[in-house]
Amino acid sequence: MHRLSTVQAYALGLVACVVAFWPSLVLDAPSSCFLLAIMASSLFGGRGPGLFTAGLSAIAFDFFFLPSPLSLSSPPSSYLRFAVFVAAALGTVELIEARRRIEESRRRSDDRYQLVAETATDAIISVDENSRILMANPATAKMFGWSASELIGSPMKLLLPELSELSSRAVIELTGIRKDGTSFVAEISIGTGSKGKSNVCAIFVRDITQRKQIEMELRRSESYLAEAQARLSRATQIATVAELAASVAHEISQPLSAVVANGQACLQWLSAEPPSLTNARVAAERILRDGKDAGEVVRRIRALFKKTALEKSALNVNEVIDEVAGLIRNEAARKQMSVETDLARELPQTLGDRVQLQQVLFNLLLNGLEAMDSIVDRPRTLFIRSKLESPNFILIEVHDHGVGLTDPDKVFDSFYTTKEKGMGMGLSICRSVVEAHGGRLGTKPSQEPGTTFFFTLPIAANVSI
Amino acid sequence: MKLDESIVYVLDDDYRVRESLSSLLLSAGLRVETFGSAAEYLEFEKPDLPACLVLDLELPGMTGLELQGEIAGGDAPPIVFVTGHGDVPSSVRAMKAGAIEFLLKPFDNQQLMQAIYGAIAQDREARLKRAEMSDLRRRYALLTPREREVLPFVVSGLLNKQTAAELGTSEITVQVHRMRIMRKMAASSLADLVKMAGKLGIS
Repeated sequence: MHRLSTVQAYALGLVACVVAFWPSLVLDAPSSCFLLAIMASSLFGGRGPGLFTAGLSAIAFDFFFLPSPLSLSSPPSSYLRFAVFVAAALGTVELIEARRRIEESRRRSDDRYQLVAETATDAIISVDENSRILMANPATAKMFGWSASELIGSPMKLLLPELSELSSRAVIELTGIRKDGTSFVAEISIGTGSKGKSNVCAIFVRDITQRKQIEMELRRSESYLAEAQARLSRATQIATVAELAASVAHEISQPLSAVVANGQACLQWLSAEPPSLTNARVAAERILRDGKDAGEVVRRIRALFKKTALEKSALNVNEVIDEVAGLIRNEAARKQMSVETDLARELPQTLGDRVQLQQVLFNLLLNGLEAMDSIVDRPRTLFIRSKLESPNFILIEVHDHGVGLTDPDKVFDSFYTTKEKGMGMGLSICRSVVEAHGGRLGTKPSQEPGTTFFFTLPIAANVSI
Repeated sequence: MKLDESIVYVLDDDYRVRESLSSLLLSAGLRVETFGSAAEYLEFEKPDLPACLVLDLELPGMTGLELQGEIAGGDAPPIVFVTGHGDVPSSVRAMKAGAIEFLLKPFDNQQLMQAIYGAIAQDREARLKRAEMSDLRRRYALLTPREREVLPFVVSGLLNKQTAAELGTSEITVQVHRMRIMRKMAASSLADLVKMAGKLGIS
């Protein structure tokens, strides 16, 4: 409805009143004529002009149609007539105003709903109980390629052939078919309700082709990430090899030099005049001993750097600790540090990948040694302990008397490092290895100076192979 | 000092290396003393013999290079370095500081023996030279102040008469000084005395 300006509305009220005056006189039906004027004024001008017209009408009614205008000598019936007229006039104005308000608010809410439907990027389609389309928003037209007028009255199966029943409230994924026959992945949610006698449904359709694509890419990049992590872990292994190369070369070259020198000595004792069999025998025995030593070193290193997937087998944690401690002792001795172990006897076996667990322990021990590099005022001892933590878990602790950690929570983050040449991957890989075994890796506060790292491993009986 | 005898000091923290080198050198007829640390080696009363030190680069406490610096100068034996690590900078340092050889473990026995023999020979030479010099100095110390004054004139080839004139004394006195110098310095001829003076830096 076209709304009038305030001045126009009041002018209309005045005009209506004047226009009503004439037939009132002619027909002598002032009440009906003035009420008509009030109705017109309220209807088109609103409450204010309606009351204005009612006022004017009341004055006109009083002056022209009652016996003596507002005088005390008038009979009581004329007062009553006047009062009834005023009541009817006010009632009319208020009634019309109330109705106008209801209409106004309905129009506003309709506008709001329409705005939502028209600007939504999801297709919103309402269908009747026979799955025929009653209404479709502009997004529907855009999504499916049909115009809204083409869609109205068409069966819903035209758009979503797989849609079987309309009662489902859950979000489902279906194939949507466009006008040109192409398809897309549609996410459907359905709202049901009743309007009057018939049941209607609102169907919300969202084109999730792009999201699906992103999800797929995400999954692909996740698997790429996992692969990169695996490669990185291998790289750290190699970095560890490089770090340790000097130490390893030393470890092998010591017994080898001894073997060579003893061999030469043995020959010389044999070819002496007279030959010294005792000395030659001693030299030969040392060759055997040192040769085995070197072989042992090689065996341990090979075990340490073999590239294998997680190969779980029942194993004794103490054996793993002994092997790695054996490897690290030489390095420790070179730095004038000692490695001590306190291993619980008769620990139950755990299920794990020996090489990877060696790696974890090796990393922790190496970190421990490095933490003690700058310590001079206390014993530089690296302490390894194993014990049964609970009926289900074995606990392994590595305690160093080193400089300690400034930020114990951060050390497990990837690329966080306190070392000049570190990559910051060691501990984060360790943690993922331990977690892959169903255990935990962390630090423990301790009264003594230094740092305590611990990790737990489930005992074999509680793990299914 | 006995010139035909010699001794090899082996300083390595690994008992296997000490054992095997000791056996090897003994079987080659060399006298051997082994040490596990620099401190042990420094404490040892070393016999006055041509010697060689087979020294491990990595040692607990004082490292091989530090020990080399510590004993440099004096009458320390020449050093043959052996190492399991063998990085270029430390080998350069060791050689610059006068090491005979820098061998990587596991080393070649023959190379090691050659280095040891070479070191002993070098030490023997050095010891001879040192012994000779200290002998000369000891004899020079026997001269009286006046005789030391006369010596440069004698060895520079001046006649007794000229020397006497220079020093403002009689020719006879100079002749007596000269005879005493020859005797005290145990010089067999004037040429011999000139050579000795040269070694002592007198001209």
